[in-house]
Amino acid sequence: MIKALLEYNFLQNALLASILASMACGIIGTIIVEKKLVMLSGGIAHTSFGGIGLGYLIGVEPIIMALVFSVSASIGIVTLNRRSKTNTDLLTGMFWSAGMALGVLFIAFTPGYPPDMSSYLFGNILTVTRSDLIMMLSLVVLVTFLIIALFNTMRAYIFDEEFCRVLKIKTVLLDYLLFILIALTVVVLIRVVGIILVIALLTAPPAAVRLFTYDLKKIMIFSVLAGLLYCITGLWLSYSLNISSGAAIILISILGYLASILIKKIISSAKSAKR
Amino acid sequence: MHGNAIEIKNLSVWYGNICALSDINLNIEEGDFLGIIGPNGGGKSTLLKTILGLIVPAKGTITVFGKDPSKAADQIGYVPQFSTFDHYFPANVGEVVMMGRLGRKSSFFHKYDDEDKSIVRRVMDELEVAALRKRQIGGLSGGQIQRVLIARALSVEPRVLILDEPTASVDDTSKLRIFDILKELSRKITIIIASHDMGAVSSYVKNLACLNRELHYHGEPSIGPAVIDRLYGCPVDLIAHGVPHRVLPRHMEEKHD
Repeated sequence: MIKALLEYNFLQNALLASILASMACGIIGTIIVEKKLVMLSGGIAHTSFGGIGLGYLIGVEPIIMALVFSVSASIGIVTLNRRSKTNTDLLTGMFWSAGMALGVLFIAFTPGYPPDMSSYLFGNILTVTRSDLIMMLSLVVLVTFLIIALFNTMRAYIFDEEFCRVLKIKTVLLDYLLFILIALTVVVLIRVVGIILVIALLTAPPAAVRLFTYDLKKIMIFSVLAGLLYCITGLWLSYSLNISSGAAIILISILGYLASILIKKIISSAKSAKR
Repeated sequence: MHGNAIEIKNLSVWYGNICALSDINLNIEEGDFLGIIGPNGGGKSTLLKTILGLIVPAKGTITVFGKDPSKAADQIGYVPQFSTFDHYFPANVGEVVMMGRLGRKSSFFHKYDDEDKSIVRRVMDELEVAALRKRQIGGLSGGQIQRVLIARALSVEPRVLILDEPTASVDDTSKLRIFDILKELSRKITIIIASHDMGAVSSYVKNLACLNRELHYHGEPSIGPAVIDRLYGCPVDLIAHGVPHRVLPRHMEEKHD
C-alpha cells in the first residue's frame, strides 16, 4: 500500500481527505454527542441531498449546492425552532425527508441519463479530487479555528445553555454558529462516507473516547486520532479488497466503538480485582 | 444597605393563554433573605426567570438595582434547578465553577485570568468544594452538585443570589448544610430562594413570599393557616421534616435570628 500511495495520486488525495475528515468529525462530533444533536446532524446531512440533486439539475457542482442546502437547513431549523417553538426533533424529521424528496425530484427532472448518486449517498474516498480537497481544507480550517477561538464559551454553552443566557452570553448566535458548523462538517464528510453514513463517523469516535476521559479537550483530540485510525484502516481495506470505502470506514468505526467498550470493561474489572 | 435590590411592579406573565403570574407587586430589600414558597406550577420559577431576564413580562416592570434585568447580568448569581443540565457532561468541578467568570468577557480566544482564578478559588473554599476540584460532576452526590452550582453562581460576584429549588434532590443532612451556608452568605448578599419545602425555608429566611399565580403574602415567616389555605387551597401539614423548627406561629419565639 505504501508503494501504491507514493505512486497513485488518487490514494494521496484519499489520505489527505481522511486527515481532513477526521479533524472535522472529531471536533464537531464531540460537540454533537455532548449536546445530543445526533439526529439533528443526520437531518442536516440528508437535507443536503436536495442540494446535490439541484446541482445536477442546474449544472452547478453538486457538492457546492449541498453546502448551500445544509447551511440553509441549519439556519431554517434554528429559526423555526425559535419562532414557532416547534421542537427541533420534529423539524429535523421534516427537513430530513423533504431534502431527500427534493433530491429525488431534481434528479428526475435532470435531462439525459440519470447520474450515479451512490458516491454521494455512501461516499467514495478513492475519487476525491483536488478541488474537493481545497474545499474540504478551507471548511476544516474554518471549523477548527472557530471552535478553538470560542472554546471556553462553547463548553459553557454545551453544558448549561440557561446559565449562559443568565450571563447574557449570546446563545442565539451560538445556536446559529454551531448548527452552521455542523452543516460545514457534514459537507466535508460527504465525499468520504456519504450522506447516509455520516452520522456514524461523527458519533463513533467521541462515543468511544469519552469512555476513557471526561476532559472535553481530550475527547476532541483523541476523537480526531480515532477518526484518523478508522478512516485510514477503512481506506486500506477499501483499496486492497476493492470494497466501498464509506461502508468499510463506518464498519471499522463501529467495531472500534465495540472494542473500546470491551477494553473499558477489562480495565475496570482489572481495577476492581486489584482492590 | 437598605435600598431595594429588586422592584417588581404590576408584573404579569402569560404562557400563551395561561396566566402564570398575575399583577405581582414585590420589593425586595438589599440584604434580604427571601423565601418564595407556593405549590408546584404556582409561578415560582417563572418569577425567578423574569428577574433573571430569561422571560420578558407581558405587563409591568421589573428592575434589578435600578436596571433592566437584561443589563444586570453581573449583579445576579443563579443556581438552576437540579435537572437543567446533563450530569454526565465531561467537565470537572473546577471547570464548572469557572464558567461563572465567563460573563461579558467571552470573546475570541477567551482565557481566564489570575483574578478569575483567585475568585474561583475563594468561592470554592467558601462552599467547601475545593477538594472536589478535579472530580467529574457526574460523580458527585446531590448535595455536592448543589454546592458546586452555588459556587458557580457566586463566582459571578453577584449582589443577589437566586436559587431555584436548591434542596429538591438532596438528603436531609445536605439540605441543612446548604441552608446553613446560605444563612452565612445572607450576611453579605441578598438571597432569593424558591422552594416548595416550606418547613425548611421558613425556619431560615428573613422574609417569605407566598406565590400561587398571585402574591398572597409577603412578610415575616410566620404565616397563619388562612394564608396557607388561600395559597394551597387546603390545609397543609406545616411540620418541618428533618428540620429542628416548625413554622406554626406559636413556635416563632423559638426561632433564632
